[in-house]
Amino acid sequence: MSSLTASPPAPPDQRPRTPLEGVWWRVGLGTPAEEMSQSAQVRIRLRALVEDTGRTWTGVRHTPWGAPVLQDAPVHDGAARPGDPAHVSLTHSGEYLGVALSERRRVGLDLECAPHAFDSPALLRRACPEATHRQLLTLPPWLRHAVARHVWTATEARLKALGTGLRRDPRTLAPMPLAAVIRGVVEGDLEHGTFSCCLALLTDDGHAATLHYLDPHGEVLLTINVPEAPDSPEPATPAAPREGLPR
Amino acid sequence: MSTTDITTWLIARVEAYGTVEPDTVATTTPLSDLGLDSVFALTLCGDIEDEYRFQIDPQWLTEFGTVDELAHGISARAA
Repeated sequence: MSSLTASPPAPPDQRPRTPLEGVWWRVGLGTPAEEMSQSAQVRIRLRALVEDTGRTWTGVRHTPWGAPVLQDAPVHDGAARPGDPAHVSLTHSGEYLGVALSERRRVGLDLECAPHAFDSPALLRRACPEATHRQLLTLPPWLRHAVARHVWTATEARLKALGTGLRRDPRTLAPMPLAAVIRGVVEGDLEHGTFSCCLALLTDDGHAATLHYLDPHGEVLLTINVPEAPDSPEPATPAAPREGLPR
Repeated sequence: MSTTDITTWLIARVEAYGTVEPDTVATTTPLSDLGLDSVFALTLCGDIEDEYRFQIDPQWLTEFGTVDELAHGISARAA
């Protein structure tokens, strides 16, 4: 991963948020992809976040599992681990970008702006544990679509925090409690058009995660605790991902 | 089924996802140009499973460079 040479100041609405000790993030609109790739934009945002937290930017690279880590982080065969200097996560979807940095806990940040993807039965079947899928199918279509989007966003944030991304099958995660998500959608607290964003933080032992749903400005809307199973089977030898395909 | 049929099906699916402009995908189009983020990569896995009746994961998609290569991969797995 190449280092960056420019770090423009963050817009006022994208100052680092710090309601959680040792965790910083920025979520907001980027510039059109025609002007600069979203991958480049998130690296620039990450550099700004790293420097705003008093660190020296040394670049970012990816583990063999595709998880981004700061250049000076120790090398592991999988995710970053407790005791590493700082954990980071990057995401973009549509015109939105997000970056997160956590001093201690492993972090995963994901946002989704896909308007119609969550109508697909094939996706719903693959994107969550079977128990969650069964619950989703009991919801009326208008509600199922929004809840599925928020479930998927949390699922991908969890997979990023675990360090595996989609190399771990989302169906192997512990089911997340849907009641709070459904209530958030029905009461409108979670609904910002087609926008969904979730910050996942693992506990030190990796056996639980805290999910913070964020609004398009990075404010926390809803917090949910879920159990986690960090030691799921992983492929023995990670293949080098092709550029442009999901990690 | 022929590889041509699979290629036609693949292009139709990707166009339905809305990640590419219609009529811009060719057999030689790199998969990395299809705009398949994690959501649509997982959707494509599910669609392939439903259509061709074998299980894959998103990592399997990274073994192929182009639409045509993926169609050949599907043909080989489905045979």
